[in-house]
Amino acid sequence: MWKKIILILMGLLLFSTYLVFAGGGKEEEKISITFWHHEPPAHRVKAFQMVIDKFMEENPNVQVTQEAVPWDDAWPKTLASISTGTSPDFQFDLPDLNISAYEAGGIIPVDDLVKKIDEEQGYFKSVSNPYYHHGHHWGVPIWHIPFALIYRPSFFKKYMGTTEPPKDWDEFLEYAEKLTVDTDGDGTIDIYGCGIVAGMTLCTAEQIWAFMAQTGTTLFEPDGTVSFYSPEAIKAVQMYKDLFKYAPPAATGWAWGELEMNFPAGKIAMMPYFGAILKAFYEQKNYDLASAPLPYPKDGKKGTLVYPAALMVFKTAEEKGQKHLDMVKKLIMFMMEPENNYVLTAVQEPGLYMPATRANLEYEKFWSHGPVAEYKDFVKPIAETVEYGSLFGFTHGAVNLAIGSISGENVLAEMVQKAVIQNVSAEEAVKWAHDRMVEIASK
Amino acid sequence: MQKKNQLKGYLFLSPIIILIAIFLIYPFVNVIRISFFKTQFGFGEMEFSGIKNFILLFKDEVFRISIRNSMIWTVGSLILQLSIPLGLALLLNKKFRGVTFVRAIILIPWIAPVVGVAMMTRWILEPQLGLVNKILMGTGLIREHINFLGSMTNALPTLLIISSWQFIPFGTLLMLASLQTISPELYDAIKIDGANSWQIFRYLIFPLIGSMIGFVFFFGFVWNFNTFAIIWMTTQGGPVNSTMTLPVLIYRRAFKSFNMGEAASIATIVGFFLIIVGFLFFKFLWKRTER
Repeated sequence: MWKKIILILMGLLLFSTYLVFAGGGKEEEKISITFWHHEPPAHRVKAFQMVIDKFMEENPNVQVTQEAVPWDDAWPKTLASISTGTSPDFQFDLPDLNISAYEAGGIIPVDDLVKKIDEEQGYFKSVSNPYYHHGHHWGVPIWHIPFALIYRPSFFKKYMGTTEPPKDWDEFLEYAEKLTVDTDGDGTIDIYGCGIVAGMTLCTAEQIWAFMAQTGTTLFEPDGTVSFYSPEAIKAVQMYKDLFKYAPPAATGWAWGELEMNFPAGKIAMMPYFGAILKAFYEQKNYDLASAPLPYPKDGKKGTLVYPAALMVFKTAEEKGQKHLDMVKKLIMFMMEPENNYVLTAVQEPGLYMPATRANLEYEKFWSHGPVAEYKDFVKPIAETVEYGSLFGFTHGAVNLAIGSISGENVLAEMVQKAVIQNVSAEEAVKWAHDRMVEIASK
Repeated sequence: MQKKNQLKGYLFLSPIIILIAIFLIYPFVNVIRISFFKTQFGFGEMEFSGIKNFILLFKDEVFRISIRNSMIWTVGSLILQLSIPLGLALLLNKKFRGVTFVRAIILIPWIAPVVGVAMMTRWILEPQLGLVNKILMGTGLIREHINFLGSMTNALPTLLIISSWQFIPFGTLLMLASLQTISPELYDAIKIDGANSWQIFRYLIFPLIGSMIGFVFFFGFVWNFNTFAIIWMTTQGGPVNSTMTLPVLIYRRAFKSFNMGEAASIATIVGFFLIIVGFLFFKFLWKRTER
């Protein structure tokens, strides 16, 4: 009896040892790729997983893991991971995060990928330029987030007698004034003409830049010198101040969330904003939504904010060997294929994430995806902004690496707060911001 | 024998001393070290700069504003967080129907996650659509929306009240626990002596729970001085630095402008300030209340 038990146990031991080693061998062959993104909402994680699953199906020897790091933690975690050598293989980033990672010595150039994608799909320059510095491309642009004029056509019709959006700044002010209405005559305003904010967040910086881009404002000269204090910047801040008279008084503390809550609620008639608002309207099947290029000054030019998101590859991926790095690059190329890129743009955030290449923008499935197809006239002007949009601090590419700190310190938002809340003159506010930028850049 | 016992004592203390050394003393010493360096983009390349970070700090207007705001925040919070919990604890020390239930639900603000409270604060206090303005307007108490978080004058007091609302249950619980240690016979005795409610509080309750009030004061001081999350998640120090406190400034300098050296110099000043407060408290106030 005991002999039998011992024999069975020994058999089991041998079998499990075989399983461990056989399995372990296979595990060793598997390439494990980890990437960070900053989109923790469940539907966004799901979209990433769709692409990952497809890639793993085609490459069974690869295990891809996504980790969602909220934007607020992106900078500290990225810098800490570089310091400790625990970076993921690649990460989604924005131009200023890219610069921070570059300055911390954590990333490698990705010229080969950018060149190949550009040849095959045609990158929009406004999207790829911000990632080019020190003679190399340091990020593979994957999508972009642009600003356009978002408005409620029914309000225009009712209070302006037209559904045509304003074309220049004079019309913009006129529209904003007439669309600021006390609808029930109780002495309180029910609809505000323009949704612009002055909270101490990046949202304010984004909105003011949409105006500055139209006056030709630049933060830096091509050689990197701070050149913010200019008639162009003053003009834009003055316009923002003037327009703020028709914004909700509470907008002095607002950010994205409040705009996205008040616009669908019918409290705001128009605003310079992302197409993210589409989702709320789509869910309610509300078609009182339109977009147009932002009005620009008669002596200015078409301009807006374009936020290009890219993928940066860490040195850690390179250190794991050529085979590993090649697979990381293969995954990035896979994400850029139109069949997968539309999942990361149209499916993930319809109206918000726009393709970074011509091929992806022209891809049929991008336009036939549910909300995008249903609100095609709304999405089209937003998508077209990529032709003329720009990002603050990157008008001439990444020429001054202090932009990360300037952006992090929210200098543009604080400048707007001085102009709008403290009622400092536009010139003084711009001068203050210029001096602050010089101070930050000199540190 | 005594020496052997002493050694045993140190041996038993060693785990906690090691933990304190690793997780408190080492980081603090490291922060002091970093404050003497010019750093950017992490800790990779640091350049020794002596006391330059400290000199720059005292020239920095935002730093001065932060000190002022931190003081207003701490003192204002302490006034609310000592008086209201004391009042609530006195009420909850009475016997009435449902007292256990009230004692339980009063803890809700304390256990609510700060992130949730911050989000709730932003939505409820939102002037156009928020519940508070709707109620105030609906009842005719106000004619114009109150801009709670977007106004330079309202933002700090609003956040101070929200933060205190979170702390109050904890203070109440501590004071209530202390109140319950007072023997009922003492109440009877002082009442027989003809003491009124104020005299009962002044000559019986206050002396007996004084040490607990002192502890809540010190705990509240440190807790409030270090409050970061609720401010960052609602106003990020704005509008125009009106809610910029020292912890918010440290975070902003460290993780927004990536100037670890400057952030470390502020943290060093704050650290030493709190150590001095702690020392003074335990040296003078604590002993007096204990007596």
